[in-house]
Amino acid sequence: MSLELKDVEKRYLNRASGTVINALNGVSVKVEVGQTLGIVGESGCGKSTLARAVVGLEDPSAGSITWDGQPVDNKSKDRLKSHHSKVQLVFQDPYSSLNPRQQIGDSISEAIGVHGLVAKDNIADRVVELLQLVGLDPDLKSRYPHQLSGGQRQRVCIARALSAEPKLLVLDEPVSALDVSVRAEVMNLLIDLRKNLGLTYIFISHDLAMIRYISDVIAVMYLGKIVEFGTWEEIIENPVHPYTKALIAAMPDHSIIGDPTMLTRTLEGEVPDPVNLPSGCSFHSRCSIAVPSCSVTAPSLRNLSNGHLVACSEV
Amino acid sequence: MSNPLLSVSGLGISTVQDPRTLVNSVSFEIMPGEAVGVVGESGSGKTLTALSILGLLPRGVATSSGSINFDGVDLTKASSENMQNLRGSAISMVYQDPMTALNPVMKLGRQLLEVIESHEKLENGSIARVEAALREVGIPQVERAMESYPHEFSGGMRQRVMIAMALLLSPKLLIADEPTTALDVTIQQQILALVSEERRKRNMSMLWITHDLGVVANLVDRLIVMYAGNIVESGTVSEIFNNPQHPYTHGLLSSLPSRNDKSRRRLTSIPGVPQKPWLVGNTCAFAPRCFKATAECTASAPELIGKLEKAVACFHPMGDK
Repeated sequence: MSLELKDVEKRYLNRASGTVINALNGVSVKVEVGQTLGIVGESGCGKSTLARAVVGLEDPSAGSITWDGQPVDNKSKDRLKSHHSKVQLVFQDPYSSLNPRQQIGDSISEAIGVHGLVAKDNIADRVVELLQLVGLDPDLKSRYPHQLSGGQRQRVCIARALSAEPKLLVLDEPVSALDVSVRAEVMNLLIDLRKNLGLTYIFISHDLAMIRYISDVIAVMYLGKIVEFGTWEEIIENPVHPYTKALIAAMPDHSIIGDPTMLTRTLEGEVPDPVNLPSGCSFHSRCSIAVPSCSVTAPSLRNLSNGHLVACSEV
Repeated sequence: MSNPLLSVSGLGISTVQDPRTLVNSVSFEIMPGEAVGVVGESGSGKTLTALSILGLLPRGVATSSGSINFDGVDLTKASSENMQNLRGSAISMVYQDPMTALNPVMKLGRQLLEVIESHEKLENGSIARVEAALREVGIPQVERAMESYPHEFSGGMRQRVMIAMALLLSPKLLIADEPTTALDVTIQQQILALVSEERRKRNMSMLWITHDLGVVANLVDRLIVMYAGNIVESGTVSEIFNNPQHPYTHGLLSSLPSRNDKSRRRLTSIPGVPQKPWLVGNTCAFAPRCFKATAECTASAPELIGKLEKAVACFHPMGDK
């Protein structure tokens, strides 16, 4: 079993200005069951659009997404529901993804009810089981979201996603909104759940430190495209694409201290507007090794060695 | 050694009605030209401490004890007129979100001129001065930028404008409250490089507030670690990172994945959540989450003991490595 994306494109029409936003510009990637794919990139690179497309919340403008050979399809309610029993999404903000006026036990039992996986009489027991699974005291089920801490709320969101007994969890910046000292707890929980339930993850983040910690393979995205792909060791230890290199250099890190020159290794300029994509390689305007042909021809992903892929003609 | 530029002593901040302690007897110093980072999680009191220096505490919150000595003046006793004169000239601030800190319906040039106008007389050279300030922080096409509104700029460019505004009147102290938290990492790096360079060039003191230890590792000289309204540890960057003494600092550092750790060892987490500062009482605020806590820790509050280079508030510090 695997999740496969082939040349996925997504464009949004801005009705007010009549312009087209190019969110995804041909993404192909395959996630094998049991693997964790980390997707890293800055705002506007399309990583959240990708997450939404994978769970069927967005319809790709072109290309295909298949799970176990079956196309992900949000045209039919039934097929979308059956997709959601295999693929679930956990959002960044556990404050806005829980109903503030619903007790958390009800939030979870509602999700169990939708998928009809548990007999009505057993739903209450299943809620307790799910809360314990994510390391929460079952007594919390009668609490409201505002009575929980950020870390507890994110655990509730994870429990709710797990209620559908999915095979794949798409985690869109699951720890970014949490305080530093509770991030580690949630990361450890995700790693334990992956092992105990045999889950597959797509872990999306702008934080390379977290991506590096949890991923088996990493895809680096820039302006709606994957620019580099490989095992986590290859991407972190042996990055090839100039954007990946810049991203790693800019990653705040506490292992090197008191060295102001660390701050000067920076990437010039800003991410171009996804409405007017640059010609050729979309990174050429900020690239230190760009040659004239980079602004003409867009490089496609090519295999450097053993599945380490890079989209750059100059490396 | 010279006298400190800023000396905060026994500063307490609490709500006015139904008094609740938010910051509990905080003391620290900033030397001329020195950059100090304040690290803490949400609710630790780091932002309130910064706002109290500027006399900008939110309504219903006030300083309840202690003094804030800036360049020979006690700011807790200064008149609002004196504070108005200091703000933006001797002490200026860069906020987390430039979109809400800038006026959305006023052209940027006008907003920067207003800073000069509120402290000095506008003169023929004022526009050139504003343009130079924008050029200095790397704003392209400055003449056009002067005529633009904040929404026409990206988050990174807006933050550059904020920095230009804060540096316009050559402050002695720049206070920055998580100014890069909302930015992408490569843009964050650009802003950190810019601020670091400007500070050195001007020999300006700086107070940098953040929740991210990685951000300040190469930016500041000394660090203050806050927890539930208290300073639990302070010291030079190398002491804090290489030889943390407070179990909280130690726990915080071991909960971060490091770029150089090839083993991907399990992250050490700190169990529980921070206490509310007003519920701490006369105990160590971290005791309920601390693996070294004893009866002593809940019997009284440890004081911050040590020197500028290294001080810790703990009965059972980690000990030297």
